[in-house]
Amino acid sequence: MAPKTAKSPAKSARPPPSSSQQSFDNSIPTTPELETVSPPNGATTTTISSPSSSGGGIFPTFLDGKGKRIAYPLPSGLSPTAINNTESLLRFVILALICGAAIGSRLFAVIRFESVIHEFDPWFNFRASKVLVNDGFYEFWNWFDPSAWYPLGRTVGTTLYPGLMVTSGLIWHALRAINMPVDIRNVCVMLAPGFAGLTAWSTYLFTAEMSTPSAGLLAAAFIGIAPGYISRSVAGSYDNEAIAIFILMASFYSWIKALKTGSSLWGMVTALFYAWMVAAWGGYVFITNMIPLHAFVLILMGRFNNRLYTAYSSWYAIGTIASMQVPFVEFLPIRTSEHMAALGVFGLLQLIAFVETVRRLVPGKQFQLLLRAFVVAVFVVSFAALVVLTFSGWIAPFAGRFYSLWDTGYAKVHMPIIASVSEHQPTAWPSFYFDLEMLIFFFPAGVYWCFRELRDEQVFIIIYAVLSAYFAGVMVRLMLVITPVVCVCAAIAFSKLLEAYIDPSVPSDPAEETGAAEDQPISKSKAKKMAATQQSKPFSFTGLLGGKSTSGIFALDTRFAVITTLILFLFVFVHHCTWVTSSAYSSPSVVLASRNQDGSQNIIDDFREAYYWIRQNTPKDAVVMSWWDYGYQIAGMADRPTLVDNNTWNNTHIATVGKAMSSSEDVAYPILRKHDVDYVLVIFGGLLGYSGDDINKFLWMVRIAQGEWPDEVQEVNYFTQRGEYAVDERATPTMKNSLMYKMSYYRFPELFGGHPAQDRVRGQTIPQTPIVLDTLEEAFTSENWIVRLYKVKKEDVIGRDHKAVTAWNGGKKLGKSASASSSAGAGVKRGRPSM
Amino acid sequence: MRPFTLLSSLLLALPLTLASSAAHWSAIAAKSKDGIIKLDSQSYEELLALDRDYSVSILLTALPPQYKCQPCHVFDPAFNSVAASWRKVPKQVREQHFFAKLDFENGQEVYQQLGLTSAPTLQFHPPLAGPNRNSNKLSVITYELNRHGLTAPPLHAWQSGLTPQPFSLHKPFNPIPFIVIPLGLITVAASLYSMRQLLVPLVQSRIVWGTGSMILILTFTSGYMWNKIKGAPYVAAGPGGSVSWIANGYSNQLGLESQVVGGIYGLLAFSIVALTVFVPAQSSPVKQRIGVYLWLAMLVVVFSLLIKLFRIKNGGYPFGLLF
Repeated sequence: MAPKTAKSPAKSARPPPSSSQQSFDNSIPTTPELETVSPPNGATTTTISSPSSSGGGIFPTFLDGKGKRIAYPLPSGLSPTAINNTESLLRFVILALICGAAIGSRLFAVIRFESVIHEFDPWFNFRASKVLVNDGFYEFWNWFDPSAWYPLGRTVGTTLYPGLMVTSGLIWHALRAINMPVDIRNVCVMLAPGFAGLTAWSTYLFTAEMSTPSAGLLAAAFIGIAPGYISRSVAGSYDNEAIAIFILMASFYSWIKALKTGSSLWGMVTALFYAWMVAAWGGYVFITNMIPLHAFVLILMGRFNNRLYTAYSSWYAIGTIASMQVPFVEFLPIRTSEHMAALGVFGLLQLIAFVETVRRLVPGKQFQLLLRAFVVAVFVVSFAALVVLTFSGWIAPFAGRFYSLWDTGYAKVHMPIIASVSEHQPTAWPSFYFDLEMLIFFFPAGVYWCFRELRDEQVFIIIYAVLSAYFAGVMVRLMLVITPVVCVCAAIAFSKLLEAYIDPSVPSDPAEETGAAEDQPISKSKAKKMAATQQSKPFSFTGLLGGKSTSGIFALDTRFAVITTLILFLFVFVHHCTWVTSSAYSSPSVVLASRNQDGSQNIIDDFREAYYWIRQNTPKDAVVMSWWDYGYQIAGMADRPTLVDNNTWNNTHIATVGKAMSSSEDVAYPILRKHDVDYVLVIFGGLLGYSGDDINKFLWMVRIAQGEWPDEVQEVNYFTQRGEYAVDERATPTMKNSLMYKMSYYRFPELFGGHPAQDRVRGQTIPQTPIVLDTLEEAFTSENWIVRLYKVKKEDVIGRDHKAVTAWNGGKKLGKSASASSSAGAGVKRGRPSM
Repeated sequence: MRPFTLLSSLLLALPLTLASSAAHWSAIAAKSKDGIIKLDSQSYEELLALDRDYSVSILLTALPPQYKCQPCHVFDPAFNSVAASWRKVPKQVREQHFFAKLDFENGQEVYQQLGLTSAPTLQFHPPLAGPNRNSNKLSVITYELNRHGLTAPPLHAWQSGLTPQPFSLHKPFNPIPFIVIPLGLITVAASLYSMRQLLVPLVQSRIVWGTGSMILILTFTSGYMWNKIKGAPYVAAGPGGSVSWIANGYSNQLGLESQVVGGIYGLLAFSIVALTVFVPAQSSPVKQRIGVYLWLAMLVVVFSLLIKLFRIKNGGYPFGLLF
């Protein structure tokens, strides 16, 4: 391939409009590597020429059947069909192995722990899938969940993207249909790895359209194990992203296919994948804007043609109607700004197609000018209409999450909940390297190749690359979106580099060819340059700068050196990916693991312990209040109503919980009682050193509460005079009196029996003064104290104040800790960790 | 002596009772140009009387040039414009909330008493008596300058939620943008049109677009947006007064650091392109061999440096190439 591409004309800025047909011809997948160098049918032997000093120096050169010089002997006597068949078989086997590797590398968590659903959101998706499978599709569609967002409830059917659950439900039914009764949990756990295999396959197809099948295989291998994608698709990570990346790549592939062939069938396939994507993930907006942007850039480059028209129109018409079938989306495609680009480009394409048709039928220069003016005028008018509609409120302006990508300060001020999520933070460079390793610098090289060739589909890659680089920089979560394009570009660059050094043809030596070259007709500019170089005899350029360039590698040792280095890079890449997956991305976060001193594994299962305790020891309708992170887990594992959960649709409700957590007992107790709260759950990592605990998230609770009640909660009051966030002696009174602080450190110093009570997350010493809880009593604390559960006391039977009750009890039972009263309906169970 | 003491204490109490009345402060506020009460240490105490039935926003600032308080000067107009907007509400409501300003020059005691070490500080004091009193509320609310910034709109949004009645921010009409912006647009359009001979090839140039995209990609993938959003410093002072350009911690970085990383990515990508395109184009076998080894060495060495740099950031990283 190298000889062909290296000489591709890159001088002209862009091909004139008339050459679009030609550029299309170029885009037909070039025949694979081996075929171009294989000898023609009937070639007999490879002759070994005598070692010549001119070619490689030390190494002998060989001649192929045609008499061309090649660097190493090739097998001869193979028919092209045999080679073709071998190639297809090899490709199939390699792709199958890549899929196997992609699935296998995602199974760390299943092997280490068990087949368990991970983290937070997957627990809700799992619960919804169970409803779908057990109660049927229509029950799921109309599902109202009274236990979430107590007492408001949540209409689940119309507030989620059902694609994920429907997908796993279909798989479950299909497996049952072939007499393989599999637990729905196992389907959910294994869904992400399975779709990762499909992603590798679709990336192969996509890259093969962009470059060569060999680059496609490399891209499939890269995406199969790239940590940027694994982070969201390990076994058990049953989230929308698990299937979304496959659908993303599949719809991009079919879009490219539709654009290249101009077939409305492929346009429809794109639309169907798009509809699936809309049903599965909020990130569908990326496709909604990528495809119109690509079409728009192609129009600007003067590459409008009927294929583009057919592909885009069929995609837009079918895709939009299909996407409107999702209850959560409904009329958004015609009423929000995110979707207006797609609509605008659709209109523009119709206009241009109309004008082109008229121009073909009616000649005349003035008339054409008029038509052009007409197009521009309509474009301007419709854009103005869009602006007017937006300002008049008929079309919603950019929604919060999407808008915060552009105005990066917006979320911090207006949407503290969105800003509080760690995956919405911007990305520092180590994250890029961590998730992509060497791909990150092969990526620009691949973009270079796209610019060099710049066919229609490569324009797509370039737009995708630049846009997703920006998005990934703004939000850690969107590393997921950049990973496929990085893999594709890196694979293109990598395979070009490999091809350049594997290609067996050896260029002819300039010394031998000087006589022949002078006879050949040469261009003027070349002749000038040659004359210039000949005049300055002592030193002359011989490469690109000299104007006469060959293409190919002479020596074998350099080939060997480069290829060995690249293979070494690949090995390091595989090791890196495996290490990252195993150490960073395979933790279910529901179950934790630590190493003992002797190297054996210690499983920390506090979350499930506590949730099962709640399930078995509390009444079915007991309302559990916790910070929203744990809402889905409590609903999924403990099966109890919660006040707030990870859906975060009601900011006020979340702020209410934040206020209760950050206020003193006097303020918090009425809030708890008004919301019928029976239990309060906090996560505390101070004993074990688990850093993702509630005290570390506490400032966000304060901030969100402050957003609603700026005159009752204030962040500054939780910092010491010197601006430190302290939990030891220096902690402010507001901090020490807050419900969260009290519940986290209640009886904590007692564990240390007089020694300083060290909080291992904050590295601070907790004061020995016993914390007194008047309105709450401890109900359960898990083995490593990670989960602590408190029961909310009812109003006193004889109408006393809770403080008075505590004082009364304290006075009566002097010397005993005030809260060890055994009046709790659910007895106190406490696990002591081995220190 | 007894009657005298009684009388004198009465006399002393008289101005105090006067001082804590809303009407008194309203008169003072009306006298000043922008409706802001200028305070000193004594009137500060008087304004914040314990039986006040009005709320107060007090800006503690340090405007005189000898204090060199740059943010004070930036924040001052914002505060003034918000205070001036409050004057637009009806008199009855206006008397329930006051804007006041205390300069460090006149109120060092207050600064000491509050333990304040930085200016400006804006504090809101809710009413302690009267119908607007709310026992649940904080005794003093500090405006968070770090979070909201020094401009008027967020200040107004904060203030408007605390005053007895929300009010709108009054902006004086500024005609200059309405003249300058269209003029500027016309000038730019005209100059672009006159230079079209030069610009059209530039806009259509593949090299220009390619270089631009490449720079954008390298900038973003080296963490530029992180620096911009988090406001990372360019370099930081290391131990012993030295200048360090690498930030500690995996999810932390400095301006120079991300630029170096961007440069490394660019260099590595260039080496790859050189090995693929430039070296095979070399028609002299000897020079080609030198080229291959040079670029290959560059690729391996710089990549090893990158891994080394990453190991500094992430201590537990087990891999390395040369170093």
